[in-house]
Amino acid sequence: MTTRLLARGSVYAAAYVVLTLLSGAFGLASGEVQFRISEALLPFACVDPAAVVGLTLGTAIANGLASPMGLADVVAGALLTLTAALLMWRIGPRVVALAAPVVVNGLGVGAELALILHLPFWPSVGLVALGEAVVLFTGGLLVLSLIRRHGALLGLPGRPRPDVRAISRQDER
Amino acid sequence: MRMAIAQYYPRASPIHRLDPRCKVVAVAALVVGLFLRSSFAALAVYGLVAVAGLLLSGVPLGWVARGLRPVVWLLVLTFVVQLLFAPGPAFYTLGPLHLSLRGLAIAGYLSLRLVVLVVASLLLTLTTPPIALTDALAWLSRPLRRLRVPTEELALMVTIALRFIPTLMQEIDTIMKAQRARGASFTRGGPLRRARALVPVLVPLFILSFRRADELALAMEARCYLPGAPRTRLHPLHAHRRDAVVLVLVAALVVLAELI
Repeated sequence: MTTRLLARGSVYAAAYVVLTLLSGAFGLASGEVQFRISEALLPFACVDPAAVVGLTLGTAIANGLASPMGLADVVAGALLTLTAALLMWRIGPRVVALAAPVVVNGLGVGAELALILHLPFWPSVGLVALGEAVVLFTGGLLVLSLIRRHGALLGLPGRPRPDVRAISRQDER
Repeated sequence: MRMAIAQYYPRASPIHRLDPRCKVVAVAALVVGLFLRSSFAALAVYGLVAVAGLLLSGVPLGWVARGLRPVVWLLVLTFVVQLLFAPGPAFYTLGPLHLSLRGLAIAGYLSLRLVVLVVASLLLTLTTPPIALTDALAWLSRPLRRLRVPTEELALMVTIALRFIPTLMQEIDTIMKAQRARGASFTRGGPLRRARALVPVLVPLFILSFRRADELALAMEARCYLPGAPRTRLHPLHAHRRDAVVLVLVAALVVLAELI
């Protein structure tokens, strides 16, 4: 782990927490139907390993600060985000990657609710996944397109993709 | 933009003074115990422990109630689901609705268990500052270093992140004001339009934050920070006899609850 990755990861974690607290202020952040705006940051994990670490820690901190279930949610939430973020890193900056957290969190949080409150498993999975999908396919999609368009501006490391316009310009010359 | 970010309630109480590692282990033991055995008697023991801890900590009940508010919704849902779908003799039938007595008992048990779980968890976060909690978790996860998990570095990241949270909030506030001065509106229109209005806030926010992070990395390296090198602490954690006493007491109570 380099110092730079460490510092960037910390910023991702802080951003995740701030956005969770913001959605928490509107009473949207935890429970059966949850709209965590902060989940929209997950597309960063597609291109930046610092985001994989940072967002995982961010989930742990946010759950520790704001979730009523405290310790249990810190561990479970972090593991779920880590799984989703690693999957997204594998998939890369493609729209399909947005489905990873929907599936992982849906199943994971659904299982948590089924275990703790004996709520029916599949309906819980469905509701959690729905809330997650809404956030990811609005905000997440926005962030993904920002990364694709302005990735260099943000100094994002990641997979170099051929700049089509530059190549065609060269061809013209 | 002002809001309380941590649930921590500063005060000098016997619970606040305990070593954070001791509190983490005690609360983890209570939470695991709570799920190992499902009986009202065991639940009563854990509930009494949580309430006793709460009284000792001197945290105002309002703060606890505030922590419980987010789960009220879940409790209502649990009651409805159990009442409607649990098997057993009905105590009330209304057409196709079949409210069973056993469902009522199960719903009551599950709700109480959730409340005890939340109160026990709150006891930890209300009496321990986030930084102390981070130190405790880093110390407790030291065995993971053998699996090459960089626990020290992760703990440092959490500490830096906690430090960055107020900074980022301030930054968001400044950027929103700057964009408003340029005619942006964040309150007009439907959800979609409001979400789109956030783009001119998020892009500068990320650019500023990443620049800040890179500066921080540079500053750390200039001060000879080396990832993975052993570090010393300004406030090392110290366990006292009272921590051992609490751990033994909690262990005894968990055993008691599992046996009755």
